[in-house]
Amino acid sequence: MVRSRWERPRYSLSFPLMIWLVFMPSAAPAPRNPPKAHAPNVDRTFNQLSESELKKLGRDQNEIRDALARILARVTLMLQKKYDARLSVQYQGEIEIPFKLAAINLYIDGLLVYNKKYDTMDPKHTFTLFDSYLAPGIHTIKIGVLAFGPEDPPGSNPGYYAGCGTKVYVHKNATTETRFIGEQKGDSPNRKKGQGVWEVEITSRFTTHMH
Amino acid sequence: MDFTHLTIVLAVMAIQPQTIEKQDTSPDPSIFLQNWLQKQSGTKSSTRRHDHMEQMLKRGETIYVDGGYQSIIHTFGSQVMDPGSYIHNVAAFSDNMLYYLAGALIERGSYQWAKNILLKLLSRKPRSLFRLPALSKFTQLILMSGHHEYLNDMKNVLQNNSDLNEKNALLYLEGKILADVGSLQEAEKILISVPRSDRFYAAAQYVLGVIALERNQLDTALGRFCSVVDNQADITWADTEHARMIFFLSEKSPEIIDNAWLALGRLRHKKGWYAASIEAYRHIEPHSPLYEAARYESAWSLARLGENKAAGRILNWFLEKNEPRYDWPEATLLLGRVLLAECRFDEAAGVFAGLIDDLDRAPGSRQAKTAVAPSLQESQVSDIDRLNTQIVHQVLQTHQMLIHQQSESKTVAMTHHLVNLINSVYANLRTAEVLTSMLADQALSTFQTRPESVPIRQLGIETEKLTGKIQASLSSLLHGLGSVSNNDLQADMHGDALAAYLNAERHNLMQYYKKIDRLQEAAKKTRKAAGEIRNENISKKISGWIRAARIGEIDAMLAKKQAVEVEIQNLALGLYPYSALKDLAESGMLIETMEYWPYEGEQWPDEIH
Repeated sequence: MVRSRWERPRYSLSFPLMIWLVFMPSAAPAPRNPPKAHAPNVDRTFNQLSESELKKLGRDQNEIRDALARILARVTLMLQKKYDARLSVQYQGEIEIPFKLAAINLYIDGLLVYNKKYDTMDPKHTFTLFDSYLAPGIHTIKIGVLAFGPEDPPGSNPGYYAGCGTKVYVHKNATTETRFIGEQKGDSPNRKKGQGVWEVEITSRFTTHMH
Repeated sequence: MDFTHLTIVLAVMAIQPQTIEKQDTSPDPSIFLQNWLQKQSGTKSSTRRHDHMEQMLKRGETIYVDGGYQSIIHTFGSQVMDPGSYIHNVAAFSDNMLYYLAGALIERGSYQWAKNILLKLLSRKPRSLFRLPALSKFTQLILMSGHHEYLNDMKNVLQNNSDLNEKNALLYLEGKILADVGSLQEAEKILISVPRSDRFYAAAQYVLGVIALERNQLDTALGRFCSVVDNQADITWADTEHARMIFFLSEKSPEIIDNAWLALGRLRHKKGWYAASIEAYRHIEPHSPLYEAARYESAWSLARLGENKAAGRILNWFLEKNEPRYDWPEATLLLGRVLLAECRFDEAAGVFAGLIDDLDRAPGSRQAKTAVAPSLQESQVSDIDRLNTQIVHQVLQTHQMLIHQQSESKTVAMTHHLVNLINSVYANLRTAEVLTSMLADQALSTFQTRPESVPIRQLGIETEKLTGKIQASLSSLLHGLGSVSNNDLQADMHGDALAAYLNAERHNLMQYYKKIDRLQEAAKKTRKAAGEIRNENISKKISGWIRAARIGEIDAMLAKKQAVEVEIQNLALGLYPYSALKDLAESGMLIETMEYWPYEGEQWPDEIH
C-alpha cells in the first residue's frame, strides 16, 4: 500500500516571482498633471523646432486675433448704426437617451461663429448661439449638432453628427430671429443587435420684428 | 503665396472702388469711424435708452453663458467703442458689459484687449462692483495666456489700494509664474507665505509639492500634497479667524484635490508604500476625470503587494473598455506579468503574443496605419493613435476569422460575421475621415483659446489651419465692406466719412496679410518638424513595448518548461503531479492539508470491516 501525500509542487511561485521582480517597473509613472517647471533661460529645441520660435508664433497669432476682434467690433458698430439689422440664432433641441449632446457649431456665411462642447445629461436644451448686427440681405446659416452614442466612451470624440443649412433675409431696421428646432429619435447600434438608427429632424423658423 | 491668398488679394483689388483709393490712407480706422459716427449722430439718434441697454445686457449674459463669445465681441465690443452709447452714462452697465467682453476676449484669445479692459475695471475709482470678478478673470488671463509680463501691470494697479484677498491673489500668481519660469527658490519663498485661510492655499501647496518633486525631495512633496487633501475640511466650514464663510477655495479646488491624491498615490508607490498608495488612489471618485488613471495605476501597486487577482481584475476592466487608452500596451504587459505571477503561463504567453501581434506582426496593421495616416494628418495625434488602434484591432479580428475559416467548414453564419467585421473596419475608416474634419475644428478652437498650452507637436498643424481661417475671415470682411461700399455708399448722405473709414479699415486689414504670409512659412516648418518628432516618438515606444512583450513571451515559455521539469522530478519521487489535480484544487475540493490515497483494489486500505 502506498500512501501518497499531496503537496504543492516545488516550482510554486518562485520562478515567476523572480521574473516579476526583475521586470516589474520600478514605480508608477511620475505625476502627469503637475506642471513641469522649465529650466530658466534655456531655449529648448525639438528636431530643429525652437521653443522661442514657437512662442513668437503664438504671440504673432495673439496679435492678429486681437486686431481681428477690434475690427469685428468696429464693423459691427458701423453696421448697427447704418442698418440696425439684427440677427439672433437660437437652437432648441432634445437629445434623448441613449444619445447625449456633445457639441454645437454654427457657421454664418461660411465663418465659424459658435463652437462649444457640452457635457450635460439634461436631454432638453435651448441655447442662444448668435446675436449681432449684420449687413442687410441674404445670409447663409449652417448649424451642426454632435452627439455621443452609448458606444462612445467618455473622453472620446462624438460619433454622431446632424446638420442643417438655410438662407435667411436680414432686413434693415429689424430683428430677425432664427430658431432651429431639433427633434431626435432612434436607437444606437449595440453589440446584441448590431444595427441602429439616429434620426434627427432639424427645422428652422424665422420671425422678423421691425424696430 | 498660395492660390487662396492670390484669390483673396485679387478680390480685394476688385472690390476697391477708385473713389476710395483717393481717400486718406491713415492706418487707424477707429478715428475715421469716430468721424463718421459724429456726422451720423447729427441725423440719427445714436444713444440707447436705459431699458434697451438692460435688455441688451440680459441677452448678452445668456449668450455668454451659452458660449457665444463671438457675438459678445460683436455687440459689447461695438458698444464699448461707441462714445455715444448709453452704457457710458451708467457705471454699472458699463462695468458689467466690460467684464463679459473681457471674458469673451480671453476665450477667443484676444489677450491684449482683454488685459486693457480688466486693468480699467481694477483701477476704477470709486471701486467697481466688478473689481473682484475682474481680479479673478485677470488671474485666469495670466495663467491661460502665459503672458507673465501682465503681472507687473496688475501689481502696478493694485499696489496702493488692494485688500487682503487681492494681496494673497497676487502672492499666489507671482509664485506660480516664478515656478513656471524655473525660479524655484523665489517661487517657494512666496508661495509659503500664502495663508491657510486663503482661497489660493490649496493651489499654492500643490505648486509647492511640484517644486519639491522637481528637486527630488519626495518627503517634502508628500507633506505638501497631504496638506492639500487635509485642507478639505476648511473648504466647507466657517473660517472663524477671519469671520467669514468659505464654501470653496476656488472653482478649481476639487480638481486640485484629485490631482493631489493622484500625486500622493504615485509618490507612495515610488517609496514602496503600496497599501498607502492604493488608499490614496481610492479617494478619487468615479465621476472624476482622473478616476480611470487612478484605478489603472492602483493595479501597479496591487501587483507589487502580490494582490495579483485584484490587479488582474482592474487591468481586465481597463483593457475591456471600448476605447483603448494610450497606455494600453503597458497595461497589457502588466497583465501578462500578473498572469505569470499566478502561474497561468499559457494565458500569459497568449497575452504577450497578442500584444506583439497588435503592435507588429499582424498582417494588415501596418498597411491600415499607412492607409489612414494621410487623411488624418490634421487631426489630434492622440485621437489618431486611438482610432488606429481600433482599426488595427478590427483588422486583426478579421484576420483571425479568415485563418479560422480555412480550417473549418464555410458556414453562412461565419461569412456574415466576416462581412460585418469588414464593414465595421470600413465604417471606422469612414469615421476617421469624418473625425478629421471635426477634430480640425476642435483643434482650432483649442488653439484659439489657449495657444501656448497646446502640445508642441500640434502647434505647426494648428498654426497652418489658423492662418487659413484668418484669411477666410479677412476675405469675408473685405467682401462685406466691399458690398457695403458698392451698394450703399453712393446713397449715404455722409458717404465721404464712411468711405474714409472703410478705406482705413481695408488698409488695416491688408497689413495682416503680410504677417500671415510669414506665419504660414513658419507653420510649414513647424508642421514638418512636429511630424518627425511624432513619428520618432511613436516608433521608439512601439519598439520598446514589442521588446518587453517578447521577453514576457520567453519568460512564459521558460516557466512552462520549468513546471514540466518539476513535475517529472516529483513523479520520479513518487509524488502525484499537481497538474493532474489542478482542476480539483482550483475548484476548492482539495486543500493542502488533505491527503490523497489512490484507489488500489477492491477495498479502500483504511476501510473498517
